[in-house]
Amino acid sequence: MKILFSVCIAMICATIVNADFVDAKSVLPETVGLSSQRLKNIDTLTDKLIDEKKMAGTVVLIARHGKIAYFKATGLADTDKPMEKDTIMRVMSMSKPITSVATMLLYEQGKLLLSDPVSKYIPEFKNQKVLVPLQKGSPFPYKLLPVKREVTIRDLLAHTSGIMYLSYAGIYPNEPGRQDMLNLYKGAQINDGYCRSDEEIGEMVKRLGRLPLTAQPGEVWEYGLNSDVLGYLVEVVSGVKFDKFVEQNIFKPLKMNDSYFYLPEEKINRLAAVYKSDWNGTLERVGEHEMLFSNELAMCPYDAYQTSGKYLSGGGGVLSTAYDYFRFCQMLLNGGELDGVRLLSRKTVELMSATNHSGQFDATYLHGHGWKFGLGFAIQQDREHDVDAGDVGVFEWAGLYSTRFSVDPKEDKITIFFSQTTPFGHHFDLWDKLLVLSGSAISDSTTEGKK
Amino acid sequence: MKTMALPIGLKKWIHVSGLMMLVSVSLMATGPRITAAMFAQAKNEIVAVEKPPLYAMQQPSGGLVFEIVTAALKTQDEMATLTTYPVRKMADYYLTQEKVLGALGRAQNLSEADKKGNIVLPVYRVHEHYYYYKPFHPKGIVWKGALSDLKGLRYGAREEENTQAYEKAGIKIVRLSGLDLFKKLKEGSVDFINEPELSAKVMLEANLQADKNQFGEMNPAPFESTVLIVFNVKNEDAKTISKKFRDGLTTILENGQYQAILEKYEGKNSLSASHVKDFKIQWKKELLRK
Repeated sequence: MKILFSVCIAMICATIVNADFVDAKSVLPETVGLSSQRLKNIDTLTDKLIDEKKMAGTVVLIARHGKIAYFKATGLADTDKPMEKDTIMRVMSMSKPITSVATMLLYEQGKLLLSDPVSKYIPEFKNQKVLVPLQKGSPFPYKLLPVKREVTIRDLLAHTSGIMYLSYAGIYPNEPGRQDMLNLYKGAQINDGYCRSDEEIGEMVKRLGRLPLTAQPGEVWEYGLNSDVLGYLVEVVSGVKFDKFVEQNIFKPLKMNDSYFYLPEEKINRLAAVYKSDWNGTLERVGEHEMLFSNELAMCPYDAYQTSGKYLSGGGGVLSTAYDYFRFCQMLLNGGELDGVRLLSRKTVELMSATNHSGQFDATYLHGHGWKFGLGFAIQQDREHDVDAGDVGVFEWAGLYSTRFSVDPKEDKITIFFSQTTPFGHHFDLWDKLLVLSGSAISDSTTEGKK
Repeated sequence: MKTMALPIGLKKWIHVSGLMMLVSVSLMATGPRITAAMFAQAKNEIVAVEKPPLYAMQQPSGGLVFEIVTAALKTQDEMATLTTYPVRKMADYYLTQEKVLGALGRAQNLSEADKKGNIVLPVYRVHEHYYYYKPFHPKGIVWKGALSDLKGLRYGAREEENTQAYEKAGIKIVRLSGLDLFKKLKEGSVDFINEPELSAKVMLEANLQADKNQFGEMNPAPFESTVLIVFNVKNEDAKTISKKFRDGLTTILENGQYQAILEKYEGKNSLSASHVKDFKIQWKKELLRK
């Protein structure tokens, strides 16, 4: 009886979803081996977040076997509008996997090799040097040593290039040479991409290429501006502006109809505001044109209201919806194809999600140990460590305003969380809990729809 | 131990031969694949901070000043390559800590450490202006040629710039990256900046096209400064090549090539003619001084 009740409720929910979001057809969770009852735990989690004013609004989407089984918007998108399933949000670093796919499209077309030195396409990356700090009291604080080998496209995809982010310098506050690197980046007006500069991305990338690296290419895993370089590299190789390339080759074929670098005027009203949260019940909407600072981190969430601009950040410039991003994830989960449209081959997706691109280095930044970095996202390598997303082989990444995606190939499941909340550091616990709830909703024994 | 100075041509030959031997070894061994970089030749590297159209890797010629340098050296069968950086600190590093042949820069932006012990020669007299943002100063800023006219205003100086004269005149100094001077003017962070006229045009066109007419030149008093080449005495060829440069520059000033280069960038007008005339006077003094 309980099951029947759950099924009825789920069917009603599915009908509602169909009614207000035409393309996002939800199915009864039980038909894809998920428990409606257990998925309600996610309602409890997100409702609590909103009640406690930790976040203004959230969208959660869980899909299995290619079907959406849970899709819910909660709370507010802005002071005067509720969060909707089709609310557009800043996905920030979740732009990186999209940029990786753009690069791999060119790879599959034979236009580049992952082993190609970046300098083959962007000459400013020729003859790069590595900054090596010298002892205190030295006439000059550092030495610049030639690279043992050039930065390759694979280094950019896997974040093993030695290119850094300014904003994460705080992670290495006492590391010798870090401040010198930071000063050089600042002096060269290098932008992390969280504020949209009034220049072409290529201008910034060319300056970046003339600066030293933090380490020898391939000898470090450091999350950095690599995807921004890749975005420009895609422009150089394809001869098409990066936003147009992504639109034509990823967004349109995947029917990601609400994904952009700059929103069209008619969709601006669907953009969520960013909220500052102290995680203790004080929630404040980021004001018009307000810049947010935290050490070297500078963010301009209001830039997303611009309807045009020159700066196309492959590392953080995309605006999208949970549903659109689900379609992107589903393409990856399907081995490169969605709804009969093939973007990448299965072999290329396998290559992207292989765990040995970053060598001995763990992708500790978002997850801790036990995770490796592939060609655009982190991948769970074992189940011996603290951050467990449900399976070995799960791949995922997150965005600075608290967005996250997680793809579980073994369970054929996608989990997406969207909000627009800052600062970033509060949300790890929440995301990890969401993945526990998503995983523990699996109940194949009750389903007839197991793949 | 003394080392014998080899002619540059012979050194290059030895270098290239050495590289070819290395390549042969790596072909036989299980080593890294051959890349174009392995065939890179030794070069007389000159460093600068990227500033189109004066010195710019973006331009095939290397920009106006570098074109003068290469034209002068070419008359002496010599050559040089240009490497530019986005920050002064990088160019300083290569000049003071490495053995690059030399560096290019405006006199006010080269530090004493850059010049110390090195061979410093003028290359070009650059026409400069102070600039301001009209919306913040709708009546303009009057400058008659004395820094005291600008007392109380905020000057956007480059990090490496010597600003003693400004401070003495009661001008407040705000240190900025050379890349965003105009943007800071627009933001209202500073009241005026200084920029060569030619590079100001390029910067405004490239980065602030829609706003370019909002930036005003302070009149009626533009001024000139000198772009210098600093030959790095740590480079064992610097003395020889600096002599060749001296002879070559004299040659191109006399045969009209210098003027042709200026006209290519500045346009064929009385201004470039007067630039050449002024520089010839400066160069004659330089020749007498040495």
